[in-house]
Amino acid sequence: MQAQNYGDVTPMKKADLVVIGIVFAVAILFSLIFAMGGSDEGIINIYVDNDLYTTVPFYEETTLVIEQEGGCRNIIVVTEEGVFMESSTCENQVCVDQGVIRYENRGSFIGANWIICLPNKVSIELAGGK
Amino acid sequence: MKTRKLAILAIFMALMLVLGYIESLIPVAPAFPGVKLGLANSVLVYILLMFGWKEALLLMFLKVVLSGLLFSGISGMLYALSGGLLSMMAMIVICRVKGISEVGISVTGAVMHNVGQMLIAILVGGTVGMAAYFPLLFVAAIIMGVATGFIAKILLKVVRYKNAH
Repeated sequence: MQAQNYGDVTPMKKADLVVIGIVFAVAILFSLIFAMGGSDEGIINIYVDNDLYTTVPFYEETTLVIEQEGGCRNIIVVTEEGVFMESSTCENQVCVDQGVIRYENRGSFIGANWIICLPNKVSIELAGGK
Repeated sequence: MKTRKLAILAIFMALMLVLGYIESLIPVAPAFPGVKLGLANSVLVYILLMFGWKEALLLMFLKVVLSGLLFSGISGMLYALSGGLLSMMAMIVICRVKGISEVGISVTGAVMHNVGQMLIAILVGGTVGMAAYFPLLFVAAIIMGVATGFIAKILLKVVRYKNAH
């Protein structure tokens, strides 16, 4: 890099575009891997701290309270339309603000299948299959 | 390290801290935590190209620690360190590619920063499903990487030091 006359304000060079292209291609690859068609059948997987805690079939209206030592508490509500995190003891409340993830939206956009409470390590997944 | 160089690096360190703080006030994407503007990265790219990889690595570490102590908190430091370290190492490697410019380096840094943070999030949180956020994060990283790359370009043109290497 020392020899190059860096700092001249010219548009991007070819190597830059290659880098951008590679990143873009990987992004598309990931979006293809994680996109599944939404379907009517499925189960809701609830993970607590790396492990599958419980599963709830779609449409089964129920409320789950998950309490962990250390004061972490998450309340998950399953309705006939989807799942949402009703409340959480975490600081950032991203999981609560996300709202409902609907069964019909499963796989249709990024973030459609998951609600994740990172601080409390609780995750909700809309999964396909019987 | 010569006193003059120390003082210069300290000024850029302060600049990075201020940039980091200001951008933490701007919510770029409320739904996706961790999406940042990455303005401090433009300074890191500048330091990398103007002074060298040792100086850049040093400033990255210091920024993570000081930023964590001053602003974001110790718990956030793990993510920042993982992202910063991976990003810095990738930028140092990509520097050597013939024909790469500030923009390419910056995009690489931005993407790898996200990757580093995601890896820690997956390790800590345990759900690989978070990788579904990668596409959006990568595209955001490309856009911001190009922008910060141009900022670094301008910095390199305007702020020059003799005998920096």
